[in-house]
Amino acid sequence: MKWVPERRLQWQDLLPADVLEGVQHLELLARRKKRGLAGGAHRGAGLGSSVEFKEHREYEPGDDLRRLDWRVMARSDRNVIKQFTMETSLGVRLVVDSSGAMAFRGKGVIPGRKGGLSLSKGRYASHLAAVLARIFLRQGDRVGMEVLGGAQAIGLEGRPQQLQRICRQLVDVVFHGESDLVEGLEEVTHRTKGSGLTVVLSDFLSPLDAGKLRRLLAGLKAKGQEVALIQVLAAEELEFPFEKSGRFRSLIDPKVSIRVDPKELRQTYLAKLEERRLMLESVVGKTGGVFLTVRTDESVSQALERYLQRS
Amino acid sequence: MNLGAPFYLIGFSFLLVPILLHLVRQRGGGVVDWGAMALLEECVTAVRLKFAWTEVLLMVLRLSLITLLVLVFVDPGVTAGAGWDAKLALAGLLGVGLSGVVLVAVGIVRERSILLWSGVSVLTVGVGLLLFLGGKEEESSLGAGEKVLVLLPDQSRSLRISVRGRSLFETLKQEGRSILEEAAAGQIFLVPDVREARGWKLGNRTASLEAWERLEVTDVPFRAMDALTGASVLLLKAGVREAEFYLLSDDRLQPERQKVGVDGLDLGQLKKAWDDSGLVARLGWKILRSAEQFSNLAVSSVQVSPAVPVVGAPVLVRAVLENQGTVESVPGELVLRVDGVNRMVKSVSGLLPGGQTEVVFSLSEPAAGWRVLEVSTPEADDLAADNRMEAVLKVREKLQILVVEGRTEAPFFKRAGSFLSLALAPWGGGGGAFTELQSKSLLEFTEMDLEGLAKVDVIILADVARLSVEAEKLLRSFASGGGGVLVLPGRQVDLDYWRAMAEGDESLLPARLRGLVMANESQLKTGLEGLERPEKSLPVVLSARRRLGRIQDGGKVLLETLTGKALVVGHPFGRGKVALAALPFDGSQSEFPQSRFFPGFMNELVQWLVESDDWRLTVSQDGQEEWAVPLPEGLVGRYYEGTGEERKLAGARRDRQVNFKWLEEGPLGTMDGDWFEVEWAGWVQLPEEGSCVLRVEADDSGTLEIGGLPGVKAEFGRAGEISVPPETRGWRPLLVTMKEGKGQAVIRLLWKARGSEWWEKVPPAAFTLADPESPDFPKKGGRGPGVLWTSRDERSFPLVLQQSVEEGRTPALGDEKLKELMAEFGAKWLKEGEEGTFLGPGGVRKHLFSPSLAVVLLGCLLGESILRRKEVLR
Repeated sequence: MKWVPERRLQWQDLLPADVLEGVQHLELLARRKKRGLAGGAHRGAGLGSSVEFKEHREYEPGDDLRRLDWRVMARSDRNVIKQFTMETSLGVRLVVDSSGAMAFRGKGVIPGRKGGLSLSKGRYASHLAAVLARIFLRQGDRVGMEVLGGAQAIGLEGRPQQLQRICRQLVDVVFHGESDLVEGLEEVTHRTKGSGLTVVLSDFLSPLDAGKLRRLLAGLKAKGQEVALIQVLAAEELEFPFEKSGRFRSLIDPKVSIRVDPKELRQTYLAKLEERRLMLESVVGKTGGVFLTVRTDESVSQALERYLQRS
Repeated sequence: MNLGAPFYLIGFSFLLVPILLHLVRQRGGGVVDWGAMALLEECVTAVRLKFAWTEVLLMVLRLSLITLLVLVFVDPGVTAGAGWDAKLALAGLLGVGLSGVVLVAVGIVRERSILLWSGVSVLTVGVGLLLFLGGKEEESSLGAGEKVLVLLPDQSRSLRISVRGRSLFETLKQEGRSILEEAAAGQIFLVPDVREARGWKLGNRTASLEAWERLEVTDVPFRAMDALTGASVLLLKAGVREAEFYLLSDDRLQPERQKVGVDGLDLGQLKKAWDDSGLVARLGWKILRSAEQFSNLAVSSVQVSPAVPVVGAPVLVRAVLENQGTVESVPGELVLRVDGVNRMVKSVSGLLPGGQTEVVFSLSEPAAGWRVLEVSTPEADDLAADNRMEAVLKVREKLQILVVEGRTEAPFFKRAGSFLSLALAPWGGGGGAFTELQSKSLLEFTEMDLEGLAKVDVIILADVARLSVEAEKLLRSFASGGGGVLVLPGRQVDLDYWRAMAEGDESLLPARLRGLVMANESQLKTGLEGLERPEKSLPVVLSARRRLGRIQDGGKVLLETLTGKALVVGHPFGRGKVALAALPFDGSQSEFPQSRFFPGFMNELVQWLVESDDWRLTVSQDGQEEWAVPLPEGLVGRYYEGTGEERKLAGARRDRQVNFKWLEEGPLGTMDGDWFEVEWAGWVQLPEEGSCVLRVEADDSGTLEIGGLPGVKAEFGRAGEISVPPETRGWRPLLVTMKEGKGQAVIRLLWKARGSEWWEKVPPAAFTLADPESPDFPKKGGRGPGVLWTSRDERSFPLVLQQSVEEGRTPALGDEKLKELMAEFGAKWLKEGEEGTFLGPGGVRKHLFSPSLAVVLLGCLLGESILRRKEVLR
């Protein structure tokens, strides 16, 4: 199963019509209210200047007089301030792992596509990120993107042009070399201000220190960030279906290769994989985030649907 | 052990397999470009190092196994003694069978299909081996029918000995017959065929049986090594790569030094030759036990002294009679025949076994010419063929020579006649006694007159400037009256005069002087440029019609230089002969310096001038250290009374041509005109250029055989013809036979050669008695003039290798040495008189070779898969 580079895409190709159709009905709502500057589809935690009434409270000096409920004052002679729910816009950070391992392409076939090698994990993650970005932007949220170990980050913006910027950046990502997931996430955390949503797309198969990851996620939570870890894996990585013995050559460093008999190795490998999954799940569960494994041979919309159900 | 031999190369090329296997396993195989390497590595890092080691170990194991196998199976030098092959084959079979069974059992118990199937494969190979060893050898790797069975019979005369009323040769033929009959259908054989002049032919069973039935005992000693190597070369030339040789011989020593059957048989050398040539061969033999008691008187040597006898002078013929039998011989007699005529009989006493006696005949020949001498004992014994011996010798005239000195003015040592007198010194050949062949008298030119010439045989004109009219007339009448004239011009001759002597139909000289060589004073070179032969128109009568205008040569070239320049030319003149020589003859200046060539040549030349016989002078081209030897033209005719098995040799003589018609009288004095046989044997020189067809005509029955070509038969007036292909031209052995019943007897040997359209009698010059291959044949380094042997020449196999074999011939092996060699060869040695078979390098081992390799490789793969399973699991 020799690796073959994928065809280079135009940015529009990241959002093919069939995928968009599949996700149209999905309304993404953040599980937690966020405060935001511009009005958006999300209810903020605080009170804002929207039309949806929340409660009354006693007037305090300094309150905006325009918010006095004149009717209540006339009826009960109390100075009451009318309070409304503040509709906030969400800050969504999409973090994509660009390590060479993400370039792996399995033989699994995406429904509706012809044979050959499936999408690489990286390309699949790019599709996911692009569709997520579109959905969030359409809801008026601000969306930003970070590429781990890769290009410059794109700051949070809510303008419609942001989608194009993100997609352009995504198609330019070269999945190559090594990237330290934890370190990358630390940098992202450092840059993050205020609450929001951080979606990390990676295979989470590189060496991971469970403690570090937990501290990292705890830090993000403390900042008010909700975290979603989406593990993108190829069918081969999940099932290890190889029969003939041969060489496994690293995509991160092609000079590294090992010869194995897969039949003998399968049990060990699957156990290791399961161990890793459990670790991630427990870490994410403790910080109240979402952990989800998607396969590159399932459709993007399906994957998104699962994600939404979980969140 | 020759590692360059093809089988080693083939065998060792298998070494590449493990190496390639190793490399493929290391580098090749399925490659998966994997992303999550870290995770995978966590699973296998622990076993990776161990993995590589076992891989290398496996490769080394496989390499050494294959090397061992190749060494064992290809090189018979690594042998462990007798019976080794059979043991090995058995052990191999047992091993293969056992391991197969074990594998199958383990496979069933452990429920491992790979083991089961490996076991089954091993068993299959084992069964295949069993089939190979079980007599299905024709179906070897080379395919059926490609293996040739070569029968090598000893046809030497000792096979004529009878044991229990049956000759050994009959037994030998019976043995060969049964081998042929028992061989598989489709088998190809190589057997000698005497009817085709000792030719060898690859043939099927029917043809080979026919050839086998025609085998006869010959006088040729059996040279096993020659036969083996010769046949091997034939096979290789025919593209055969696998052969079985079967030697059939007896246990008798024929002459003392020749061990019949194994003479010069160097098996080590043979084996190496087989190895080098890639011939997969094995050798078997059968030694027939000879009679315990047998009588055999043999004429073991005949010597003639002097070697160059002169007419009228005594000639001593010394013959040695030997008792080579095992019983005491009865007193008898020894007979000397000359040209088929009884000349002398001497009685000999009885001889003890191993004893010998020398008998001396004193002979005086009244006339010059070639003689066939026979010494024979008429006593009947078990081996009659060696009871006689033939020799051919030439008897010379003692000549009166008149040397006419032309340089009368010169000092003595500068005179031409002086030099010639020295050149005509007494001489002899082959280290024998010197013979004064002529008496010379020197004469000043002016003294020559007719009366003085009455007693002279040859006149030599030495640098005579020109002749007077009287002298010329005198010379002509002398030559036409039967005298010999030799003209030796020098630097003072009148060129125009002598050239004019070569003109016209009645020319005295056979050739024209080209001219004088003009050389400067310091070199003092002579001055003759050689001779040119004017072509003459001579009437030729052919059958009834008279044909005119055929061009004939001006004369016979008796000597020429390396570049083909004629130096001596002679022709008949009247009843005599005249020769002209463009030879320098004063010793100071010469293309042919004064050497032992010169006296020899001059002696023979003056003989030629007076002999009615014709002969060819053979001299070396460089003229150095050579004998000038007349080569006897014609064939040895052996005349037998009676025909078939009953025939008795009546005598032998030299016949210059085969062209006879006997009416009432018999061919030899005492012979009857009916019921006889004649054999003419010798060598014929077939012209290299143009077509060449030989034809034998006989009224009753005649055969013609030319060495290396199928023979033909002429019967009842129907002729037999052989068209000789260009590649078999040159000197070839020739055998013409005739069988005469009643009535007149006619036999003729004719040819169409050199583009001729008519059948012409093969001229005497095309025949010779001497074997050009024999050491007696006059050639560089060969013997000088003297006796030529015809009955003891050892022409065995006219094959390419013969010479190289002769050059590298090892001394005849003793019994012990032979046994040792054969044992070393892995042979099973049996006592003489019993049968032995021996498997050479191509025997069982060769057949085991490829299956064994397969087993080893299979084992390697199997072992590897087992090892791999273990090493991957953590």
